[in-house]
Amino acid sequence: MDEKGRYQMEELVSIVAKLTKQYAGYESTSVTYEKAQQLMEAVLYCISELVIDEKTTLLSSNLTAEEAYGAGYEKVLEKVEQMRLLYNALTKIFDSYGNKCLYDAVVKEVPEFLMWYDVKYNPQNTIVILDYPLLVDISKYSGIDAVFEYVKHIYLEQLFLHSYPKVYVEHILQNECKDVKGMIENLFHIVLSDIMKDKESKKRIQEMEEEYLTQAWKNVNLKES
Amino acid sequence: MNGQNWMDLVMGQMQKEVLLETNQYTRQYGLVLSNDDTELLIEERKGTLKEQRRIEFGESILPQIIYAFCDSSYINQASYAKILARLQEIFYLYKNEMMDEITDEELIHFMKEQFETICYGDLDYLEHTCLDVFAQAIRAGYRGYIESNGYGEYDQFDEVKRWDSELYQAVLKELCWR
Repeated sequence: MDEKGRYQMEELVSIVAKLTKQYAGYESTSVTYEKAQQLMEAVLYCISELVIDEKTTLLSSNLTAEEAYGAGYEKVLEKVEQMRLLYNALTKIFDSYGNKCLYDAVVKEVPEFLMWYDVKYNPQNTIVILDYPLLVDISKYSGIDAVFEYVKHIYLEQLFLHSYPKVYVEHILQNECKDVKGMIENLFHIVLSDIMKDKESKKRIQEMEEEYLTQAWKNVNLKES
Repeated sequence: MNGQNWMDLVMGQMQKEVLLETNQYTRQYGLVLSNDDTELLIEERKGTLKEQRRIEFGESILPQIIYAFCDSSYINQASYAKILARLQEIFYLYKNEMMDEITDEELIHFMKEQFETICYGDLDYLEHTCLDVFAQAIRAGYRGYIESNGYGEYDQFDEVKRWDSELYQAVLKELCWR
């Protein structure tokens, strides 16, 4: 590892070479540039899983690139499992309130991701489009990180919406838009804005949304049921 | 990470020794690679891989091609290195054309069989006819070569009416019994 905490190219290439042989089933001596680039990105994605944020990292100078890749790969597997638990918890309480975009995202796209996600050879690929808009920007994430954040935020929004009677929520949505089924809007934002509209400014509503989502996540305890 | 840069570093320098080692086996067929031949083949490999946008991380396909083709009726010492360079080029081209659906071994088996039979040692015919037709079939979803390991595959795709022994017998009979 160099002084900036980056691994040398030769170390990374050696991991990519092993991964390529596995990918090709030891039946092909060569791959396309595109495939090699994908596998390099897979290695980098796993290693980057050890970097939690700008200040916190599990990477240390004691870890070889291969060890870092292995540890990162395990973290990706762990995250997929956590996402599965979170998704199971979400499906138990999920209500789309008649909105097709939200329904498709949760009932179709997330299972599609779980079915096709390639942890080993393409962990950086998010696969699905995730049309239902969130209030947070998850564009910096990819692969399991993106879908985990996505499912997490939908789960938290659902917890909020369920704290109000369903009829009440549906009434607010219908007032906002006649075509609740076809609209592509964040339901949490619509409901919270309506509830607070007489009391708070738009900026304050945004702050409240962020505050709620952050606090609510701290209270979530995922267990296999 | 910029794709082209790190891949340019990975040329997997093929060792001359690996190629020269094949001489121990190919000598029995009157085929031997000189030092110049191996250097030429190594350079050709680099160029072809770059042209076909493929990368080899470790061993090269060339020794496998050598062992498969060295007993060919259509290769002699004078054309040996040149033919190997062409076969290598055709191999990488068709790994791409067949979208990596076929293994190295299956493709080499197919190439050798056609080279010896239908193509009568003609590399242009191998490249532009047999392999082209076979590649089209694979891209359309054909996977029969998996079971056959690449052998005996071309007949079902061959569009040219070829040697028919029954027809030959019939014509011969007619000529002789006139």
